[in-house]
Amino acid sequence: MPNPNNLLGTFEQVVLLAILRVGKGAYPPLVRKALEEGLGRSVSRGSVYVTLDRLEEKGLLESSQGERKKNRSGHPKRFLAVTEEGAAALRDVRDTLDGFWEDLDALVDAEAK
Amino acid sequence: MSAQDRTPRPPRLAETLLRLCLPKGYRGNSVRGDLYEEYLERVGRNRTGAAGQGRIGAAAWYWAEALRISARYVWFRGTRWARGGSPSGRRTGGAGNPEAVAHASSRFCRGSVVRDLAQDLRFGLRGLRREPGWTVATLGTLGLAIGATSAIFAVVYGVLLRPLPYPDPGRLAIVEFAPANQPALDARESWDEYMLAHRRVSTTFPAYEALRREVVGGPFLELGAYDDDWSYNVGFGPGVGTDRLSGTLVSAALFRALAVPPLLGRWTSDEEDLPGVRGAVVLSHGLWQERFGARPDLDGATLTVDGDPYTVAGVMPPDFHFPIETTDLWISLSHATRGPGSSNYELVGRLPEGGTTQGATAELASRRVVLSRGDDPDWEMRPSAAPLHGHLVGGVRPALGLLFCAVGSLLLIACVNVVNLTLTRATRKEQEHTVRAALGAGPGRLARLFLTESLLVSVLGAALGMGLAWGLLKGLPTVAPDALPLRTAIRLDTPVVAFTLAIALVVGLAVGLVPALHAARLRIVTRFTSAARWASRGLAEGRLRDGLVVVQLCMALMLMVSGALLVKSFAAMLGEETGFDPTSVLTFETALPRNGYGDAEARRSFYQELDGRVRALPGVREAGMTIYLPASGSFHWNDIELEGRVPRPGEELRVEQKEVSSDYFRTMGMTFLEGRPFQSERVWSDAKEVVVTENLARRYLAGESPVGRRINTGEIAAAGGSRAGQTAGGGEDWWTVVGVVADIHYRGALRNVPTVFFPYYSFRGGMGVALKVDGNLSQLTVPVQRLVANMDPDVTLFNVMPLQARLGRAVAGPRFQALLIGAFGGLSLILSVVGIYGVMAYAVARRQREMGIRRALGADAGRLVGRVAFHGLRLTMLGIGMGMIGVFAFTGLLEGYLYGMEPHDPMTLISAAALLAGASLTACLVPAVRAARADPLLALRSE
Repeated sequence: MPNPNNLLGTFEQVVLLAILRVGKGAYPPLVRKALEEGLGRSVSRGSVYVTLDRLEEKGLLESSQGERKKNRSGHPKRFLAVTEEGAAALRDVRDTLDGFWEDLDALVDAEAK
Repeated sequence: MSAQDRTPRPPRLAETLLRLCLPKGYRGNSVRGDLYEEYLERVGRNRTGAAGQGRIGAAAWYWAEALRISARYVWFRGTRWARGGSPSGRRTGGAGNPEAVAHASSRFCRGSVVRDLAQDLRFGLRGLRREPGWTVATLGTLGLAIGATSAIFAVVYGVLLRPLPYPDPGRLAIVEFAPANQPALDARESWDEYMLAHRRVSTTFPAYEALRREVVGGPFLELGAYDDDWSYNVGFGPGVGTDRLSGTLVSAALFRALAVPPLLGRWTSDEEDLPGVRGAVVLSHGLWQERFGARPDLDGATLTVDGDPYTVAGVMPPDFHFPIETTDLWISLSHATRGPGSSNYELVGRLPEGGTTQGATAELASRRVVLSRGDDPDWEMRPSAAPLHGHLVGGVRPALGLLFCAVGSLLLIACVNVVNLTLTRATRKEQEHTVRAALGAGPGRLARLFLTESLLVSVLGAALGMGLAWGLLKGLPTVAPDALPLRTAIRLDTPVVAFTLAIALVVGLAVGLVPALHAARLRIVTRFTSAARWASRGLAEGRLRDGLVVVQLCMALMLMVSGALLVKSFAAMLGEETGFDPTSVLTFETALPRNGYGDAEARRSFYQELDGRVRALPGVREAGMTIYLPASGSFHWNDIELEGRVPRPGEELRVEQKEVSSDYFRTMGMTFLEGRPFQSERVWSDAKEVVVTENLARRYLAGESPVGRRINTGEIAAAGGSRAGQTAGGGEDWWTVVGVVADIHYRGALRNVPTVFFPYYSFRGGMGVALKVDGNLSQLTVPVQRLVANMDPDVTLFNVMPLQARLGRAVAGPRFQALLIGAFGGLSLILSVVGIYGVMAYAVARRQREMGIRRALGADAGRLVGRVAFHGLRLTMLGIGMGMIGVFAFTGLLEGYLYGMEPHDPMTLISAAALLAGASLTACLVPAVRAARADPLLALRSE
């Protein structure tokens, strides 16, 4: 049974999905690229970073520190992975929404009549 | 490695912004790493080697992203904090706790915090619109104070704090000299500040060469010499005419020490500094554009300086200035005077990597480097190193510090005013806030509303202030004295804007905190009971406001006294008896080219003819000539011997000496106290006669008459060419004193140094002319120019101006200070009066009901007014008392800027205090009288 309090915002959902799609080695610029490709529009870096922080604080994703490289001015990469809670939250959202999407066409037609 | 090959760095300020706004730890660092990766790609230096958009485009992109991401994070944290979460971004709910996760999620999805903040801003703006009077007063006060502060900060930052525009400027040092075997320089009473400053850093060419051999490769990496900026006749080719331009004689080593690469061509070379060779000049960017049409190829370009041909070696970049901002060209030392008699060179060196001036000084001391003074073999001078920046701006540092303190006080007064205005408004809106509180707004929410409002006001005030500062800095060149160095470094740029924003933030928080705390203490129940309206709750708050007014009055008095002192001192300077009559005198300067005027007879006949021709101009009553016009910044001083006067051991009979034509005294309207002018029927006198000023007798002859005595000047005739140095002594040359004139006083004259006027006989290549004129001076400018051009187009004519304008330039520094601090004083008076009026009006409004009851019970209106006035009087007296203490403690700092008056001038103190007391009492009485006249029934019913 999905938890109705656990609904994620749309952007949060697509960020988690994008991380899953990028897979191993996912870090913010790659996630942003995947988002832009998937959504077909540009996405600001700031909103990606802030959403990642928020999702990590909620425990829906976890990050690990990469090594420091010269081409990054000595700053580490932040590798991202969706946690089990994150995956569960995504499933909850899908299950909840699926219930709403069911029979959409029939409902719209009935409304039109 | 060239600059192009170095790893590119994103803009530092943008990086700092990110560091401040991003979370700490690797999360924040990883964001900077991501941005850097993309920045490198955009610069075009990624691993694939694909072409990028270049450094400027990449830097612009980096800035835009840094701003966007920072704004996003600030918003994120701010909203979280406002909702009561942890701003640091630490976890508030565990991953294994679905309720906490759900709570956190819903909290952000609702976005109510954002709505609250937007609402606060809307309320704030609406509030400002609804009370235009309050808004104008507050914004005006803040804008004025922040604008003035920003403008002064821009000046202080540009002149004192901004690094000099040379590579690695911290390693540039000026060489200073102190006597090794004689008393310290400043122990010599007869020397004024200019002489001291000049003597402290100047040396002779042989001493420079000796020192250079000793120190280069040791304490100094390179050591160059320059002769102060001076004007030269510069010719750009036959038939093109000559210009009088500002040039500086520099050694090639000086360019190497400054290390600013030329924009075009090259620096001068060491060979071009050798005597007798063809010299070279390096042009300023401005001169290159103006006279060479910015042409990129300078091969074979030549010009003449004072008749000698020079090769044009190169052009410096537009932001290169040395030693002053108006220098047009730098001239090699091939024709420079380099004898041991002229102490005209100043030495600038570059220290080795990691070197400090203290280290260099210590090394010079340990090597026991001692140089002879050159013009006086008895003197041995010990060199030391001091920062170049300090030398260039040294003179203005205290004055700018003073201005900054003054404008800081003004800002404080303005802040106090705005706090008072805001408190008054908060009290007016108590009812409204009480309703809000009753409807569920918590104390925190109300406090935030106030803080948002005050920050909004301060940011708007800062925006107004920036506009004002921009305008003030635009007008700066017209009021700032010529002596203000590094003017091109004064501009409104990032540090100044950052400073203004920081001020706005601090002011906003300071101003909003008091009413915010006040609001946080609101008690809904008590506020609804009308009894509370006149309960004693306001006592503590009232004391706070009273305290603020006292502080304000205290600061205002200090500013007013400082302003009044400077204005009075400036007026005294202008009104002073100068010893001559500068009205209706037109002056100009001339410089003869070397060609055709090689011998003294040719120069003499030119000036003889000029004298005859200018006298024939319509309106010219009298014409006089001199080597140095008053306030031209040039002078000679010399030590003399007086017949019958044996100097005490170590005493120097120092005089300023000036060569003038016979009619100079009459033209300048100088008063003869005794004796007569040079006896001559011609313009020039051949007699060995001199005229002296009164203070020579006072100072060196114990008041006895000098007329008839003889003066030995040594060989002054041989010393031509040195313009601000001591002439060589030795030898005998006796002159008889025939007249005594009144002392010469004007800012820029050597204070207290007696002047000896000699007949004009040396006929150097330059001369100042003064014309006593009937009628309009400006009408003569063109005829004079035409006349000189007709006589010889190669003769340079410059600085055609009334003598009064010339003297005005000499007082530009004091005028600037008097203008600014006087304006600050006036503003502080207005602000304080508005402040005390606000406080009294508010106090009276709060006691309206009490006064109504007292009136209804038969109290006398006069007594009521008296009670209020007494309160105001107490505050005023307290403020003025504290201000007096401040005045006595701090106005001593003004001593060096005051002319002919004491910093504790009693008249100024009393008048300023009386003015402030009168104005503030009037401000108290107006609301008191109004309240006492009000109908008591109305006052009671209004509750």
